[in-house]
Amino acid sequence: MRNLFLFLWKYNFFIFFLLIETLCGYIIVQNNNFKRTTFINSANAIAAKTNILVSAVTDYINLRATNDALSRENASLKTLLPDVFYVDSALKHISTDTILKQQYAFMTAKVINNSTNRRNNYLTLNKGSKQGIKPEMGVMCSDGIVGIVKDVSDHYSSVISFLHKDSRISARIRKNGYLGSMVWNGYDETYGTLNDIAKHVKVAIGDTIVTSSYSAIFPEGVLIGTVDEVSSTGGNNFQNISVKLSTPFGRLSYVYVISNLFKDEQKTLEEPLKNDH
Amino acid sequence: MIIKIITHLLRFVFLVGIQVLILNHIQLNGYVNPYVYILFILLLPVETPNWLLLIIAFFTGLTIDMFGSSGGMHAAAAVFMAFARPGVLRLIAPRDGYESDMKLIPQVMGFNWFITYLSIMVVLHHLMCFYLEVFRFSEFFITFFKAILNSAITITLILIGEYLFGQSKKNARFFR
Repeated sequence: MRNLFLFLWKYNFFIFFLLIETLCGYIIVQNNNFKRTTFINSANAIAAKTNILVSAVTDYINLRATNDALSRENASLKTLLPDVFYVDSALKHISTDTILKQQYAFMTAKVINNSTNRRNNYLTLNKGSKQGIKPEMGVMCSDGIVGIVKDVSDHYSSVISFLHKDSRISARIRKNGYLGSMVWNGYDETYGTLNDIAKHVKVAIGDTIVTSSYSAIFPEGVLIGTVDEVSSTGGNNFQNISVKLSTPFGRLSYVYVISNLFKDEQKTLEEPLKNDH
Repeated sequence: MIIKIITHLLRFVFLVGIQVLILNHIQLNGYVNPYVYILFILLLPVETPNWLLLIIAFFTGLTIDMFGSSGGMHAAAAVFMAFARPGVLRLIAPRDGYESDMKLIPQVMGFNWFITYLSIMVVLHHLMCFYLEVFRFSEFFITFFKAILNSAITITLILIGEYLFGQSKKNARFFR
């Protein structure tokens, strides 16, 4: 016992170092855990306030681009208004409530912190649990997908950007429906990689990649990007598809948080299957 | 003593401010993100006890983590660097050793000594930081490249800052 104490005393610096690093490791693992809310994230009040300050400046710089995006979106939304369509029969506009049940609800939120320059990027939004945001909701903007909500506090939420090593989004080639999974290529904010597309599938440059109907997070058919380069290497049965992302991650300012109203139902139905294998 | 502590506190606020408000927002094609806040740990007095060094480094890193949502990554890297500090100081000690109230700035220690110290510590911190961020070996070389590139940028920024805002040679020796 005495020797043990002597040993501990002799290497006290190293042992203290190990203890603190273990604590750090614990925090890192906690932070990677989806379900639990951690203290050390940018959704807490001080960090969020500071980030608002920064975004107040950057917002001003990005005003022109934001205006462009908003007006483009307004234009595309205006074409969907009932007034635009020519009504050729009185029977066209019967209430379709029982048939078209709303599955996705959208909520706008402002990006108050955003990064694209790390390997793992996060965003902070100015809406939180009080406004009905929950972890694992999808986030998109008018140009494409953005990420998935990770932590929420009362008035803020932090989002795992698509530009993150753990982001993996179920995607589909729009013209032929083949499924793959999208990941970020790791260094360029404008390019992602589409995996798991077999070699026999014909993919052309310029093909549109959209979200698939398989995830309960994003609605089907949200734009992800267009194919930029296709190549194949020996040794496996898949193609390397580089995708140019449609989302301008460098200048996000307003985004939509998507809540899937049927998500719980789908989750409970699929839960028993998960334990099967 | 009190003045010394206040100086270090001010430096902490200043460096963390620069890191969080400016440097975390540089968006140059995903490669450039220097971390200059570690200068605070580098400039702590020589006679700082080892255990205090680790604790200070831990909380400094944690503060940066809080603003950047990087969850413990900077804390781990900063503590690792602080752990290496006494060893590095011993390794590159000047001939007469350190005086107890010596300032670890180039105006006092000389440019060559300072740049050796700075480079070793920054590279240690950045390697740890970038590998923790990626946390897989499949991107070994690109991560290595990023760590070295950003170390160079951090070192340059710190040197520029030291010579722009640091004390003049005369003041540094006698004013504390």
